[in-house]
Amino acid sequence: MIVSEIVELEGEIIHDSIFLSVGHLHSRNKKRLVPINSCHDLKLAMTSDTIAGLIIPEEIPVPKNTKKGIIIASNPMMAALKIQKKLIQNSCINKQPTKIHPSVYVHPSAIISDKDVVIEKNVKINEHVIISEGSVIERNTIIGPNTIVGSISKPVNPDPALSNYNPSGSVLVKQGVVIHAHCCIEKSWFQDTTIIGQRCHIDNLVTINQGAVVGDFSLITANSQIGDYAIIGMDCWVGLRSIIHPGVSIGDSCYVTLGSRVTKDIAHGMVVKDNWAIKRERFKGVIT
Amino acid sequence: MQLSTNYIKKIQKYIENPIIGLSLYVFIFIYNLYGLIILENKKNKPTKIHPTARVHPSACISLYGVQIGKNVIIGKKAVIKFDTHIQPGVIINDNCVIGDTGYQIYRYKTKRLQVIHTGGVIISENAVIGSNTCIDRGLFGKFTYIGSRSKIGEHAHIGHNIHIGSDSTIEDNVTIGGNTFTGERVYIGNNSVISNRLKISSNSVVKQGTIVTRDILENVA
Repeated sequence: MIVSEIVELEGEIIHDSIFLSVGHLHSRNKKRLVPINSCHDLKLAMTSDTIAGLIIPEEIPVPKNTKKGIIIASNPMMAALKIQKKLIQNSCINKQPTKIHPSVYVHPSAIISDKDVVIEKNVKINEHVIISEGSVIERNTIIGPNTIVGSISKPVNPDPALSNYNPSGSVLVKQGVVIHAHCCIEKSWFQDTTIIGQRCHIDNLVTINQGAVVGDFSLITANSQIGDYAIIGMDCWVGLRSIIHPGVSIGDSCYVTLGSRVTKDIAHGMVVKDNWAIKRERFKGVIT
Repeated sequence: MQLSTNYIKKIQKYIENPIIGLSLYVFIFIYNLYGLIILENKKNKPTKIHPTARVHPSACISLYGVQIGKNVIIGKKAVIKFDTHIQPGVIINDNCVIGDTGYQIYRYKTKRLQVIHTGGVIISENAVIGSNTCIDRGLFGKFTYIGSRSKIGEHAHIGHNIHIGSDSTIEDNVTIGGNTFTGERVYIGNNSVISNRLKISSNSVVKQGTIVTRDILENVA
């Protein structure tokens, strides 16, 4: 599709281009339109091949010598959601009422949305859990107290008009997953799914951001944060309070130690040690 | 006591032998069934809440084995599971989760088996626990212990079988792994991480943002 055919935007269109979907900077769809908010994001977007068009605010200077489509808008996140709403209306997706299997244990203080939720058999849902629209929970999973499945991710430019749009992403929790207390699993604004693989164990206070994929059998310990659209492979170990940057992909059977920050892609079977707080030579006699 | 990474790799190679690995898997599976019997026996004791305690109506307190002393304050949406002993004068703020299961998993190839937790939590006199913290209950019948007059901040995670001495302060966003032992009058700063199976002596100070992977034996600033 071409941008000028679909919508009447308030901003001006400089280059026109063909695109198939609207997505985030780090998502993996081909030929997508991307809203951009800073100069650092623009450098990353110019290098990737899968992006077809950019939506840029007025403050950033327009890049030259590119074949990518460029649109200038006052609030690029709002313009992207406006285009996506037109695309969804063409495909006509109807939301269905929730389906909960009769063998599911739900604590009376838990809140489950009325639309578009599927919960399979032998699931246990504990106190004060919130499950929002577009989330699928497969069999034999346990969700601990105070967690939120399908929370709305942080808005890039907070705007009161943003409440007219609903995030169209979804969350898929596969079979045999155990999630402990105070976790937070986000869903994205665009049409992407955050996936948690089968038989994962996720400890307290973990946040999994929008569009992230956690592979099967992998273990994530307490207080660690997984960035937007990051991929974690099968059979991994993520240590206490480690941070994984957005867009990073980690291979199978990796071992991320405690307190480490992962900023680059990692091959299969590696061990990450990035203990940046301690200079060991200085404390050599003191810490045994 | 601490385990080096080479030592862990030796243990992992030992477990990859299918005879030892599968027999350990069966042993832990039988122990989990035995643990369910222990938890059923604990349901004989009803909870005792002292009439002077102030509990918010939206807080969820288990029906079995909880003891709450006098002048205790419990905030809204707090969750307290069975076999926790809260002694008089304790303040527990909003959204706390106390006595949930810890994180102990036996893994053999693609099998994941969570070991059952049969212990409990003891919070002794005049301690203050900030909002959104999680305290796990003990493994193998032991208790996680929090000393008297100690303060724990917000968004903190405290693992199973931990002993925290009296008069110590633990700031916000701290994570402490399982089986560590801290002495009295310890200060642990914001955003710091403490690994599991460590011993931190009394009067020691851990500054903000440090990652502790070894024992702290002397009085260190």
